Amino acid sequence: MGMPDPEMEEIHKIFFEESFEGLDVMESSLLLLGAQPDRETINNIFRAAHSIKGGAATFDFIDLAHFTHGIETLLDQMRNGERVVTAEAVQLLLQTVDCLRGMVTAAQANTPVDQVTVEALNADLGRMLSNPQPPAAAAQGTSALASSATSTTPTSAAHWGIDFRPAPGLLKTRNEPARLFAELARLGPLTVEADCSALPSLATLDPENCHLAWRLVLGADVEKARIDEIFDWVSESATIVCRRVGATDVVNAPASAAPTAQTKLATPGAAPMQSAEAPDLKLADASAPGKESGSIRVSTEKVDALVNLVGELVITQSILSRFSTGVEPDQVEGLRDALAQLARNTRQLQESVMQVRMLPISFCFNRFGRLVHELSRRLGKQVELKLSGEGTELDKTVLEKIGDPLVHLVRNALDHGLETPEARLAAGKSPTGMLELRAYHEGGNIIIEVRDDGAGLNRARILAKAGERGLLAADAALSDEQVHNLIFAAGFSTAEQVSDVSGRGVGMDVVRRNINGLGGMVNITSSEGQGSTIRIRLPLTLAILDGQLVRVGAEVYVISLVSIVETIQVRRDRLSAVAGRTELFRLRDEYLPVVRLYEQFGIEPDRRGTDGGLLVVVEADGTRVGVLVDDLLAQQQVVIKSLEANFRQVAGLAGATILGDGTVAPIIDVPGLIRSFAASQAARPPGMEAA
Amino acid sequence: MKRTRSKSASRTASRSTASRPATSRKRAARAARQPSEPLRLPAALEIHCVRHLAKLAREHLGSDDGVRVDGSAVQSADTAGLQLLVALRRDALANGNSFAWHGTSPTLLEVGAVLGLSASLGFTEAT
Repeated sequence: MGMPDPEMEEIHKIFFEESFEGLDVMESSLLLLGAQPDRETINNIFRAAHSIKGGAATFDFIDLAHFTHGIETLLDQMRNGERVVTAEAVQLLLQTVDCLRGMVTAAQANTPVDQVTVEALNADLGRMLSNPQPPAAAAQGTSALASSATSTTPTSAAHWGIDFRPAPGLLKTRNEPARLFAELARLGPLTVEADCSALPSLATLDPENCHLAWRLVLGADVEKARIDEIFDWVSESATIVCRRVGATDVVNAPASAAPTAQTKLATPGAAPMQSAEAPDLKLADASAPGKESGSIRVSTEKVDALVNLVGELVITQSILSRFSTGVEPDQVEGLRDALAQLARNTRQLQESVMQVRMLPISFCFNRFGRLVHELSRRLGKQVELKLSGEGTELDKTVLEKIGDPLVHLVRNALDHGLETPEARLAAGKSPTGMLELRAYHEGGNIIIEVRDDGAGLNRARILAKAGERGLLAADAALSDEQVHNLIFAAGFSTAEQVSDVSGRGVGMDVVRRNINGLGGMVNITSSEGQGSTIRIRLPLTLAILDGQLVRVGAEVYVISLVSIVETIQVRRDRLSAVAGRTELFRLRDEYLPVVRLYEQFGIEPDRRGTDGGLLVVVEADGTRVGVLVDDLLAQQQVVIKSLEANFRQVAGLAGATILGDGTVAPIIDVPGLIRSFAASQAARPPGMEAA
Repeated sequence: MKRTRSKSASRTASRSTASRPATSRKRAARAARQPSEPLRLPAALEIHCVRHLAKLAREHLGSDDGVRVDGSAVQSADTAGLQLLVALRRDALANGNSFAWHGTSPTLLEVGAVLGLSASLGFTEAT
């Protein structure tokens, strides 16, 4: 592709994005097709493949275009009823989707493609294509042209005259006029007249260039957009003049008296074909109804800038509200009202700007159809996947980061949770297992549940394994829930057999770490023989935090509300110092290590003793500690400011925020705090491990 | 296949040089390569093979026996493939030669019809 051209790169970027979207559509539709073949689904898949091919050819990704061409041909046959949709074909197409995804990724990263897979799949496609099948139903006709010509009769005298003059290079881009015409013929009876006058003699003919032009008459009273859609991908490499003829009911023409609506879809690349009709282009395009689209593409950076600005606004507003007391008495009322309004407005503005970053979780859920399909096949299990709450929205960054942990949980549920059909039947259950992914909002958080009706967790086995791995003391009395949540401990795996699906002993702890990293929590409830439910609680966004303000000496810190279990008054008699200097606080039947923030951050507290102090019990990674603070202040939403971006990373802090009085309050990174606390304890003589 | 072609080519060569002694050396040379078998179209009459096919078609163009094309094996066809045949047929007829189909597959006829090339390809006569 030679020198990087920024404009071209931008266009390529859009192409890649659209290709990935198209591939997602293909994948989900193929899964649907496997369950229930229907024509519209095939059409969806075909259209997605067609767009990718067209784009690939236009941007010179010839391998990609060529590969997609084979897929498209197969789909075309299915669509025309020339080929029965078999499970085998769907499986092959799913593989090609994977391969395409790899090819697009390779094109994007400018890395070589996996030629072996490409060639193998090409061979498979070729084999399938060269093995013609009888049509699914004889009545469906032999070709698109034939079927539509007989089934569609012109509804009115109105029809479209289309001049189609390809640029010489059209055919090299694998855009096939025959396919376009067949597509057009679906809209209504089509007559095709080829103009061979520009065809050079055989002696001088470059046979790969297109020297033909066509005049088409489409006897269908359709909207022009339908036609444009078909020519969409060739509009770059052809001159297309679309004319409505003999219309009495002008649906789509401009409001002017002109009886024809002309549109020229051409680019400078097709210069020789361009003529004086060019001015019509803008007129017709402006009058043509725009493509309906419920979304726009906005770069993440722009949205982030907006989010940041609105955050500032919130801060300004809170600063401003402090001055409402020092104003003339008669003005105070008005100022208060205005400030209340400002508060309301900024809050609304903030919420709607945050909304821009919100995406429905279906973006993440959609991949599971395929995953479950493949895994259940490989594991020989029958699984029904239920999705609910796909419309639940959460922040794009959270969404992107929750994908991998969820994949892991789903794999685990399929591999370890759900039983084989035989085992299920033996246990008196339906042979088909149920896996449910559910998302919903709960108190400013989003909850994602992965539920299966499989074997559930085996308490005895977990305990045995945990003992074996030295994860707990032999005499520890744990509740079922505590036992079940041991599976999130590092290095824990109960899989009897290490499979390629899961069970390498890394995973659940990584899952929990990732979720904690997002400011979320994960836990599992399970009952043996009935199944398990894994519940993930995530903040809606990473930009705002529901925080508890705490004071230590003169400093104010913010602790995320999600990680706070409870807050208690310290009682001297419940404190005990174990060997070394670690203090433990007895909370009911549990001993909590006490973390003194002033020691961690090197500041001066109100008092060094514990009497009268407050202990904020926080939890992360399944570990609870008590954080000793001097006072509890307000609970409020705070805008998270990155310390890394504005200062430098500080151990134990997740960021900072600016409070109403303009001071900076560090936000405590609870998992980080617990880790660094544990590390500092480990450096001392042993003592607290038994707890 | 290759061997028979070269044998027949040498036979035609001696005959044509004898009958037309000095009209055109170039023409004679071209005629010398005339195959007598029909031009067999590949199963995939598509853009990836048109360069090669054009070379073969040029050899067939001046054939004394007329241009004969066998399209019975065609399973898939595209514009590039058919365009080449349109040029071949048109040039053959323009040279006062004949053009005849020795078999046309249903696919060939159908794609020809879809592209509006049935008449230009002489399919109406063939069927």
